[in-house]
Amino acid sequence: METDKILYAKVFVDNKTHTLNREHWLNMIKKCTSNMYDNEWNQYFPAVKENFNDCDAPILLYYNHSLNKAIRIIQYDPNVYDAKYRYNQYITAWTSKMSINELEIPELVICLLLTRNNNSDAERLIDNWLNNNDQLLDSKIKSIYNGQK
Amino acid sequence: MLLNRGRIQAQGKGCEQSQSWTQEIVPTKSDGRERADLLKMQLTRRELKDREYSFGKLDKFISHAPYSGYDVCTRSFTPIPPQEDVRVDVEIIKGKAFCD
Repeated sequence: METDKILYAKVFVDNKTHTLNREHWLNMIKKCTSNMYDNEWNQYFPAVKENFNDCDAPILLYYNHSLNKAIRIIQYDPNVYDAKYRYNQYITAWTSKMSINELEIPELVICLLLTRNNNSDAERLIDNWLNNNDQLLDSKIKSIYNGQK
Repeated sequence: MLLNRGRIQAQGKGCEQSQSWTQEIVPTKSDGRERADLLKMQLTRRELKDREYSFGKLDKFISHAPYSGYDVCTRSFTPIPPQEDVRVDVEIIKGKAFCD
């Protein structure tokens, strides 16, 4: 029996929950960058033009100008969850390059069903990424992939 | 002259194939579907099977584009539940894409 719990279950149902969910990620990033200079050039790309019920749009795009790194977070609609799988099978991550103003920026992409445990994993990934802990990041991604099996 | 640039990519588990465009005219929805079909032809049977759901989401994304097309954006479509870094990405890098 699943003991983990889905967070912000109505993220793609009502705007208020979507906003709270996005603030959750903003607060997490602020916590991970609390030891860094608060650069006014850091950008958060709010999904202003997106419909809040578009679950394919990233819930957060973040670009840290000082580090020249980006983070893109995509949440799965809780309705896609199939009980024959575990919650921890609904998280994955990778690093790649994204285009911002036609420049290629290193990015961390996290796709997840937001549950308490998946949230903790995401926080570790973000913290390792922003603090340049590449080995720890790779190790965490591998353990997430192992959890999918 | 504003150019429209973008690409559709199949990536993950060692796969890295793409179809890109750089053109003056905004690519249409039909152009987008054609690029997706060309990309599918570049994949092995296994790579295509792993991305069946993802290509379905891509098709839906293209179909739901507004009349004048999407602005610059990136979307990644993973299988559900995900399989490592397997995905189909679409990046609209400059201009617009998938107009009517």
